Amino acid sequence: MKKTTKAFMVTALSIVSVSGLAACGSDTESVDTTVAAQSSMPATPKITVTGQWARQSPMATDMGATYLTINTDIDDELVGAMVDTSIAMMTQVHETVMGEGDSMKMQEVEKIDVVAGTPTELKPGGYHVMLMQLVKPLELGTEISVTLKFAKAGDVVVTVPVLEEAP
Amino acid sequence: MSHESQGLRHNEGTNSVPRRSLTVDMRKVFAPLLSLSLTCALGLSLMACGNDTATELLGYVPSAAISSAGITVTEQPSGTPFELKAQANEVLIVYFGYTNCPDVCPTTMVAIKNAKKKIGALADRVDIAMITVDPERDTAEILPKYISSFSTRFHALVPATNAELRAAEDAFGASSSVTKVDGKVEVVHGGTAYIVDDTGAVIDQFPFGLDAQSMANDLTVLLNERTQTK
Repeated sequence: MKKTTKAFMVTALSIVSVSGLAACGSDTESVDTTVAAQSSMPATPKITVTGQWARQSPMATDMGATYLTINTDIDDELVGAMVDTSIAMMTQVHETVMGEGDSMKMQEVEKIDVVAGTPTELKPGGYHVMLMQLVKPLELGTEISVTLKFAKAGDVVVTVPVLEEAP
Repeated sequence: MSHESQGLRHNEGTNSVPRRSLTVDMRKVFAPLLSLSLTCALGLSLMACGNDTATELLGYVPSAAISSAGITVTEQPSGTPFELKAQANEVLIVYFGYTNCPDVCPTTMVAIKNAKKKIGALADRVDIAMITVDPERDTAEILPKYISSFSTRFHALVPATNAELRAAEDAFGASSSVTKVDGKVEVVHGGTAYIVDDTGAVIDQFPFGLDAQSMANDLTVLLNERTQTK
């Protein structure tokens, strides 16, 4: 898992594309070879992530939030997210839902459906990847690595800059 | 509720909306035309907010009078009662939130911070009071630290009793709840920031999601009004 993650990091910078069905195996060599699409086959289905950012965590809180947009070539499901325990002890996908009047609450979501060709936004006031029990504050100018877990495409690792507000 | 009202406000403030077409015919042909013109009207009024001479508020002005005059909440770390009204010739932004809130609260607090940056010296006349709806976890040590991430001038209000919190919420028509389910704390709270004048009257409201530019517009309008009436 760790090795795979590292290899992904090398082949991708801030925008990560992962070849879904084939590439999520266990050996690192396959990652390098599947990056280039083979001409005899249809284009490899891809999930790409754009506009990602983590909110600078205010002082005195150990909660953080990460936002991003998922673009996909295949219908899939975001089923979870994780960060290294050196960043936060627990990671969950949450949704802020509106109640009566202007009331709002957060709740954990089991999955988010992502639809081919339709960007899925995780943004303030909606879905977000919630980082709980931050080990240290998320500081402006730093980056964290967030792994998104998809039902079909497997893990997509995203490098996420820490910002004050949406880029 | 607040979003609808806000939308209504935009339409009311623009004379170019062809209201008569509403009464002439509501056949399908007109529906897209109407929505197009409403969209244009909204766009125009939003564009106007970048203008220095803007006088229209983009937040939501309560239709019935709301006042927090005479309502106090315990300020920390001083432990003294703070009355929910602005200093003379200033405005006070009152926000109900909690620090274990990674999404909604910081979004609004950062927007307020950036709105203040946009209005230059006028920002000196903007005060902020955050009332925690989760006083059990947001102690006298934690809340001031949290707000200091967003503003140098603030009042960290930690209700000493449940009655104190409810009285403050009732004044604004706000509500909140903190419940523990399976060891998890679930907090429900309102997303609105209330703009209060020096009598305690609520003169404007920022619904969740209002951007910094719109907030800056409103703060400018409200503070200029206060300068002129002095």
